[in-house]
Amino acid sequence: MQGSSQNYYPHGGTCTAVIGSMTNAMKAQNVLTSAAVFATVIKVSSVDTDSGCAYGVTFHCSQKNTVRTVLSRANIKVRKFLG
Amino acid sequence: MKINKNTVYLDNAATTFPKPRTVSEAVNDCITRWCGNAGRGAHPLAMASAEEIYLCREQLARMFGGSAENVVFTLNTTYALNSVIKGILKQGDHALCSNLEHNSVYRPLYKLQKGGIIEFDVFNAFPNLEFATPDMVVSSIERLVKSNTRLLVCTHASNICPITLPIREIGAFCKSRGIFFAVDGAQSAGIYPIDMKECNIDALCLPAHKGLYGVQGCGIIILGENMSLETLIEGGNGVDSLMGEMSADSPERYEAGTLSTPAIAGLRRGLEFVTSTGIHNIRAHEGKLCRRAKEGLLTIPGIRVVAPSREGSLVLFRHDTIPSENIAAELGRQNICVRAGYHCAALAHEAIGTPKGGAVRASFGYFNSKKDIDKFIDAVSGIAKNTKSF
Repeated sequence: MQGSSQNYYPHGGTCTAVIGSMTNAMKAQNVLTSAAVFATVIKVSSVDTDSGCAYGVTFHCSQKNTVRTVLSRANIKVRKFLG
Repeated sequence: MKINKNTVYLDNAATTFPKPRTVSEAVNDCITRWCGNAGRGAHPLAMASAEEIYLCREQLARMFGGSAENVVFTLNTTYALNSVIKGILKQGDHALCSNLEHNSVYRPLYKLQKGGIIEFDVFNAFPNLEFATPDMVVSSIERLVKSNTRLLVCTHASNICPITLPIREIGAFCKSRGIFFAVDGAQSAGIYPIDMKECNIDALCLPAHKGLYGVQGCGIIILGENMSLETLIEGGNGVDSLMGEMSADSPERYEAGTLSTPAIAGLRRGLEFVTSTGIHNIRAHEGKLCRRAKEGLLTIPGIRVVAPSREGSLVLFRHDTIPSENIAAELGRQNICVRAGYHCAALAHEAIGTPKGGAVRASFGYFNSKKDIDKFIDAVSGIAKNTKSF
């Protein structure tokens, strides 16, 4: 059990898709991994959300279009993209 | 009464015992090594817990034909059923349930009706106690459907006698009439295959601690695609904390408060056990034990077995003169665990005509053996011979 823990602002080419619930963030990670996009679940800073706590996935910004397409096809709503 | 290696446990319909060793190891591993609170932070323990819970959702989704994000964890099946029943029904709605329901279905409906919120009717799940075709059951439902029938909720397998309902045919009927179909899988999960898509089930309610061989403290709702409920409980769920409303995202929308992470960790191993053993093997084993028990009971003078021609994982019986509670008490003194009375299923006992005093239920699990059944039969035989003592 790795329990990867991430809670950081997007930086250095890293973008974030703000998803919402932990479950949907994990689903997003799985779906992106299946599409060969390396993604990590993070807790999004409350500064960047309108409604408080939320989880998202980080990925390399060069894959933003792929991420948008893959998540859309999987019916995973992205609240906003950061970075 | 001492619990020891000679204890014969025949109350698996209440909770299965023992559990596979991997289940207890997983629970212990969780509480000693990594149990945080999922969805409440991003530190290693919170993330480890979140990952374990997500993996369990995925396993349940695979087993029952749902999606991980529609797998909701609750306290138990009763909580799950209450959430569905009260989350679907609104003022003026009509509901249907079968005459075999456990109080976890009957009581919420009863309360809603008594409060003037809904009306409900009870359909006959077994037009013939010994045999009924799916068409017969669906016909008994059709006669009761109204224009405002919003929900049909029924058990898949009875907790007092070996009767299963034809959920595939009932689901098809509900779909054709636009009726929300909820199934209580408390007695069937892990014993009979259940595919939500094939059976058109809109909500499936399950316990972790019976046929799925997990521990107590966890129940499950699996919602069908695009199904949504009004929430029963509101509170913290780790999402949108600044909002007064519960988040719209399933499953967290329905999971206010801390989940039982150790129970979910155990459930994962229970699901692995059921999958690797094979549901058909579990059912076949329990079926053999049930037949052996029935055949033995039928030879004992004064013993009446309910629905002896039906096959299942439990047997319900009574004696002509000895009260059921006395039989159970004496069996308990002999270290044989059964349950007597009405089994939280007044509706079902009324439907099958159980006389005052209830009946005795012996329910079998994967870890029971023929030796257990023979000991049980010998004990019941001994009790029946001494009617004056009991």
